[in-house]
Amino acid sequence: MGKVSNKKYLKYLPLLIIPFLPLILAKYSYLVMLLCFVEIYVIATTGLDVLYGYSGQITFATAGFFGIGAYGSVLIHKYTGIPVILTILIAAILSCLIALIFAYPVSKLRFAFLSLSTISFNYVIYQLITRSPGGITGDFNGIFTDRITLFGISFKEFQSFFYFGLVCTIILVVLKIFLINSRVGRAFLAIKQNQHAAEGMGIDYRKYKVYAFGVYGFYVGFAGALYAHLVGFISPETFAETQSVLFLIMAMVGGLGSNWGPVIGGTIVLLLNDALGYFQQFQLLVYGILLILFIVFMPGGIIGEGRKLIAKIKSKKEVDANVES
Amino acid sequence: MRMLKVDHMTIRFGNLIAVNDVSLEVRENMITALIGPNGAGKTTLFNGVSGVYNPNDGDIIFCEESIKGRRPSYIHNIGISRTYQIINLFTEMPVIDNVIVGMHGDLKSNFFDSLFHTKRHRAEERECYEKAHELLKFVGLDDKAYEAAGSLPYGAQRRLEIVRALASNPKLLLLDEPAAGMNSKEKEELDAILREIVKRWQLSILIVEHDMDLVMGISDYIYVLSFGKKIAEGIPEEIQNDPNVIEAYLGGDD
Repeated sequence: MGKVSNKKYLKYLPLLIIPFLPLILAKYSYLVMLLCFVEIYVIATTGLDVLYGYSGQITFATAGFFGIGAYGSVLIHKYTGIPVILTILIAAILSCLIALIFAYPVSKLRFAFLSLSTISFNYVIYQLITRSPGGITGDFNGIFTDRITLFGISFKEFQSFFYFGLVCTIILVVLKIFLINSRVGRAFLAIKQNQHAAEGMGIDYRKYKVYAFGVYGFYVGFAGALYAHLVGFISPETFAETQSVLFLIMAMVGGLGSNWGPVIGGTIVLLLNDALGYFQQFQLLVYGILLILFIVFMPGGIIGEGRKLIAKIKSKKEVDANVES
Repeated sequence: MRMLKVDHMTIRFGNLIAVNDVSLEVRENMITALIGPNGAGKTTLFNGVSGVYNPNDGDIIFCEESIKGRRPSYIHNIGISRTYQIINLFTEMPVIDNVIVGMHGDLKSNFFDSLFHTKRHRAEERECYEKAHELLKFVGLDDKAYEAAGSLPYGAQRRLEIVRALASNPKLLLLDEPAAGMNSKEKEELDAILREIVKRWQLSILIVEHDMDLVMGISDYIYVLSFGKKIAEGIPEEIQNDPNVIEAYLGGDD
């Protein structure tokens, strides 16, 4: 909350190119589709960052909540006929509510027990998808989904989906930054850094841990719903617990607990993921190695290490300036 | 007037009785000290009052309300704020945010105010930062407001803990060895700060401290613990000449 100067916003100038990317890449519709995926994963990773990066609760249930959003939206649309654009929101709220209910008992747990309970949760969701009552999810066969329509226009083209996704991404990323720079965000950080002291300062830590899960559920569910209506067909393997690790890698590569870490991490890992698409059997191997490398050598992620580098250069400049004078 | 009454408090850990049937009182606008040799149960008593431990026996009355068995966050929010023996700051947060976290319970913004940065939230945040800067000026840390709390020197971290505890406008401030690890100059500053706090904030202080010069200088009333039991109480002059206290500190024949 330092002094705000116009200079501060200059560095965001290159971001202005983003809305024009689909026009530039118009010929390569595959790349535009990738950008749509980037948006979806940035939203999910942003939610994950609130939970893990800020409130310090690890989770391996991200793919599960992603699935709740995806199947939630598709099934609600299928059985009620509510427009897809609304079912996305409804599914996100549903995912948020499930996260809140799940979090209430789980907020007591830490470290290994929290990890285990989230893994189990993901299993439960996966089982429900693959062995659904009455086979409404299509079980292992998957299910076809409808496209998003707004005012009678279908976002079947990746270009139109991109702009819709971009609006959602911007709103959700900005709201997250708002939330973090507030009383609630400070409480999250306080709990992560020192739960004992946070409680001594009057913070009801369980309440805020549950809040963090709710935000996470909403973001990941929203992303899952967008995903379902982008790809047109969803099947269970996308929501298996191994996929949860992918989201964690995105968050860690970008940098936990930062405004832009999830955006950078989501983008880079998604593009990498696509490049590795040809070597699917090695995907998990590469993720594993990547995760270990980042945990050991770059715990701050790209954002954290970048900041360190800038600080180093700055202090070196100061030293040089002192030597010269 | 009586502010806090610890009534026959007992805290046991298995067979060890850390606090044994101790009663004490803290009066308004006074500095009350709790002293005793290492392992006397002073910090355990603090933890019993602030809700970290639930006493096995006895009662704690704060402003006519029994707070025994309440959660630390509840106890903080009704007006008992504390510092810790082992510094317990949010080390990676900026100094000023540490102070603002201390105000958490007083802020009215709810989740949705925070999410959408409503007018109420923005006004409240502005107020918070102003108040936090004032508090930091009071202990001479305002120029370090945006540095990480963990990067401060030891004495400064102690002072930061005190203003963080003050940020919630408590009625009672519990200070657990605030002078530990301070040099003599810092101790003098601390002495002045504590006196000023009582005057300006109109609150009571209960302090655990090993530095006898500091304790005898600022305390209005002193309780002495040894092996979990209260062995003496009185004004500083009485305590200095109490044979029980001298024996407890220097060791008796038995």
